[in-house]
Amino acid sequence: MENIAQRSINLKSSKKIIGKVLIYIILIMLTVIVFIPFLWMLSTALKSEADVFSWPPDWIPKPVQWNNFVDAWRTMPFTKFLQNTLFVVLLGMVAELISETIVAYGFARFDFPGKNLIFVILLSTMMLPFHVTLIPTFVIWNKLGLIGEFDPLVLRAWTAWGPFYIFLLRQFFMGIPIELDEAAEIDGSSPLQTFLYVLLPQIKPALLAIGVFTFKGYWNDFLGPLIYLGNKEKYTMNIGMYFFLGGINEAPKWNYLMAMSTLIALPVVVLFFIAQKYFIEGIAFTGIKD
Amino acid sequence: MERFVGTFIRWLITPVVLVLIAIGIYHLLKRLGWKHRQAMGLSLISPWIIGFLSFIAFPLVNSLFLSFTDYNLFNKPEWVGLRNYQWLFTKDIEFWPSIRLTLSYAALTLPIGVLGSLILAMLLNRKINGVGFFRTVFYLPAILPEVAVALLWRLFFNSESGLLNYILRPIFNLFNMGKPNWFGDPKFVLPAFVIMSVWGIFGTNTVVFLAALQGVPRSLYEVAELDGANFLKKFLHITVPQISPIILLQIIMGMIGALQVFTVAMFVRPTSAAGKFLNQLVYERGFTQLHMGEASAIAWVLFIIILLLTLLVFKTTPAWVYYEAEAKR
Amino acid sequence: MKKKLVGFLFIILVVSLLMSTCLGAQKKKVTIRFATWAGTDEAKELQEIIDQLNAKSQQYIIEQDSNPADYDTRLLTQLSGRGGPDLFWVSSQRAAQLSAKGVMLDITKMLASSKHEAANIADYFEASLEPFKVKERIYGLPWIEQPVVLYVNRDLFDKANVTIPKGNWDWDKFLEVAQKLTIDNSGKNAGEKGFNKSAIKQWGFTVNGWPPAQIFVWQSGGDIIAPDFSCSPIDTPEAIRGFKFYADLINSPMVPSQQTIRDRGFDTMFRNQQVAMFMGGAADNLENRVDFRCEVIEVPMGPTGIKSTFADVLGMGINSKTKNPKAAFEALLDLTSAIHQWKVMPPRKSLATLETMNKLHPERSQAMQNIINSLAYAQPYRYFENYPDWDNIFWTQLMDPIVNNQGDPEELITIVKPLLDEKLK
Repeated sequence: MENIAQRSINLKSSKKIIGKVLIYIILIMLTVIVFIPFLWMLSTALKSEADVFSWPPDWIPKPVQWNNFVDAWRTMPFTKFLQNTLFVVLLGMVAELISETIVAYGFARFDFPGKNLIFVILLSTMMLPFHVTLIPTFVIWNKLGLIGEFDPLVLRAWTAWGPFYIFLLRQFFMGIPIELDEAAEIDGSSPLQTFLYVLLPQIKPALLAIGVFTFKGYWNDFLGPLIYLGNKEKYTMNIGMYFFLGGINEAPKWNYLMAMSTLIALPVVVLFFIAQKYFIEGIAFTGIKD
Repeated sequence: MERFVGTFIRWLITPVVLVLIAIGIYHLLKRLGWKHRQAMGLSLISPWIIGFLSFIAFPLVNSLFLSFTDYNLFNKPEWVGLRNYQWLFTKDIEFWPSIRLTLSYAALTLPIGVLGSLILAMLLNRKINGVGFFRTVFYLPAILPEVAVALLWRLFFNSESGLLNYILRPIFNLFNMGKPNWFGDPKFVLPAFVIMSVWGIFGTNTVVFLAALQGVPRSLYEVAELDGANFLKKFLHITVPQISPIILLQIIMGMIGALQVFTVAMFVRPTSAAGKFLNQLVYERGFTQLHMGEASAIAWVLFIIILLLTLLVFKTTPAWVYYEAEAKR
Repeated sequence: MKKKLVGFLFIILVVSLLMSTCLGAQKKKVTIRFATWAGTDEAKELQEIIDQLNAKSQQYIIEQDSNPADYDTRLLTQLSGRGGPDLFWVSSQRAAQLSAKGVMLDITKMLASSKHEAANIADYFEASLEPFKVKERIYGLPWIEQPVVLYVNRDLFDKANVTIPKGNWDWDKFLEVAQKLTIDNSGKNAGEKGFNKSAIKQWGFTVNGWPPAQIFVWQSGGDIIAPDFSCSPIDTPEAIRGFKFYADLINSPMVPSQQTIRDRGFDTMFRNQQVAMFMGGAADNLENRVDFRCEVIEVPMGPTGIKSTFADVLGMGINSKTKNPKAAFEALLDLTSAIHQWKVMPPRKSLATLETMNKLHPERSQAMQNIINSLAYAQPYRYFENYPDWDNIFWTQLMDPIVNNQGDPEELITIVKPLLDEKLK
């Protein structure tokens, strides 16, 4: 008896090891695929202008032009662009996280007439191609006299303007058993307390994910700054970067473009690396779900 | 720093105004005889409603109106009734190929996107060494500038020297066929875009699933394991129902995303003989040819398609989406 | 003490008075927002020009708003939403559209009454003004007219023992030269026996939709759009001959496959000496931007001796909704005139002389005579208000199949002509 038990444990653990090795193999293969464009971007960023299109392509540039990063940064007032970007990102992200959590909570936990219709309308705002609403939206901001300011990029964040994030948070809220709210209420906590201390901790992974997404959204926003800012003083990094695209008789500076792309991507990578640590298997926040 | 002051002050005032309006709405509704929780619900979502009424409703209705007019962005729109739609459905040589291309693309990529990212998320939802590294790497595609990625695609798909044809060579030899001309031959444009869409598995979709998987209690799996359930059973009977709300979300978002491909298509510029994606057509009609009326009509056709498909998916939800919050009522 | 204080106060008074008058004078200057698609270097050079003009002018301060990304979307959204710039760069295709729709200010009268050198309409090449004219009214001014010329790699010509053609040369000569410059891995050229088509390392010429087929149709005596805009006469024998020549070039071994071009980069292949002849705009200044000996010559002429080439015209217009039309007009003239000194070629007869141009661009002395010669017969497309509609059909239905899919021009033309004619109605 003992032997059989022993053997089955051995079998189980060897099966587990094989499984783990298999997972590693798959993950490493996928990593290679995903890494190719990133490496290509990095390698272009380190090339001299003449080597960018050399054929066959060199993965390791010779010589490696580390000063591309500094040169690209100095070509345009990127320090100013960085300040502008941080300002927009901070204001937008904070406002969006707060407003969207509240709105999603409203959709997930309360019943009122017309709720489903409103929710469908909310989703439908994502369904119309943005090019046909671009001009009327511009007209509204123009009437408000705020063209050329940062306002069109950040003020609407307070009105929970990301339907995807509302949808996402709503789904997460709806995954939490209602008994949790009820138990908290019996214990005498107010709806606000229930929201802050019972529900929010439950959806921490979702909030983290949305934090990263919104950060990236404002950080990489392209069309908004392009159309509304209209002055180099207020440009964000992402718009400043496109100066390297060149003009009619000026070739694009791919190496600078990629150097700036790399610099712009870095903070998001770091932020995500920090955030993902909180995605730990089976967090199982409370007793109720188990 | 002067350039930030005005916006910052307005940014501080906005939420105060929104909260005051929300409180006002609550009291008004109470007075109209709504129950406490009903009034509370509507006031909680009131910031979105205000944003919608002030910034989205007008552009939305405006574009619907424009789809019934002849409008060139600058002169007064001229009412033409259904003419734009009639033209699209019966005479326009680009419209139907575009519908076909866009819908086939969505139909092919949606399952790949949802299933692929779910499987990847499950792989990443394990306590293995270096998982943080892998998670970060797999989020990279969502961070990289689209221009960089599109450029890579052009190199990757090159029929003569691209990596893809090099890898697939044995398969072509097996079927005795030449190297496909991915972006130049209309037959291969759709497959090329489907292959590119695999990229979409990584990034945002996987992160969302990863966040969802955090909520599945470990104990459920342990109980099932004691009952001798295998991987597939655990997947079908525990994982899928537990994260079904998020699967629903991914299906709908995937659909909206796939039907609105734009940037990559504009940058890669495959042969137009394969047709253009609908969103490309909207852009060209509106901003290149200055027929905003026609562009709006195409946009609204796309809008209706997406809306109907979304409603269809929602209709099926009681059968397979499992909400903890509802189940226990 | 007191005296000192009084003196000090007096000085302050005088200084502040002086400053206020200065400020007052400055306040009278209006700000002119100026949108362009210039990239880094171009924007910097342009800023230098603007700084000089701003310092000189009593009327305006030009504020540059440049960005090469998505210029069309940005400009059209701002103009349509009535928050547009006062002054903006515009391509000739857009100019034809925007003038007809009243988006660009009608400057006919202002031009007539101005004594500015850039306001002298008679001095401009006729062709360069066409895109800015609607019914004899003028809505903008061109700041560049660059003819398409042929850049040739002298090193490769010498290596293949081919002399660079001068002046009048025709299609046959062109094909002959291209053949001799197309070389396979074993060193044989495309005219020799045993030439290996599947192992070419150097091509004579390159086409990817650019240069436009229009050039060859014009050279063979055909036309793409009739002068009275009544139809697209692409089914005449002359036009078909032009299209056929173009299609045969693309499918010949003398031109790399479209895949190879996409992959290695169109003009990059010329820079990397993989292509020996390249048709480019005169302003590309390739001969000073490559590391081999490069020269500029005229494009070949058609089989019946017709000389023709395409001219890319770019210009500037004033927003018809501007609050300061007068200052904007002064800025337009000053900028146009300054850019004429900066770019090749200025669309003005008085400037397009060998002497003047050599003074302005001494580094381009070899090219200049040929560029000036080309300008004499260069023409832009026949733009009209709905040209983009016509152009969409022309490219997607006719040129794309010819370039990408070995389409037969003769077959395609019979299908496409009615579609094109419909857009001209």
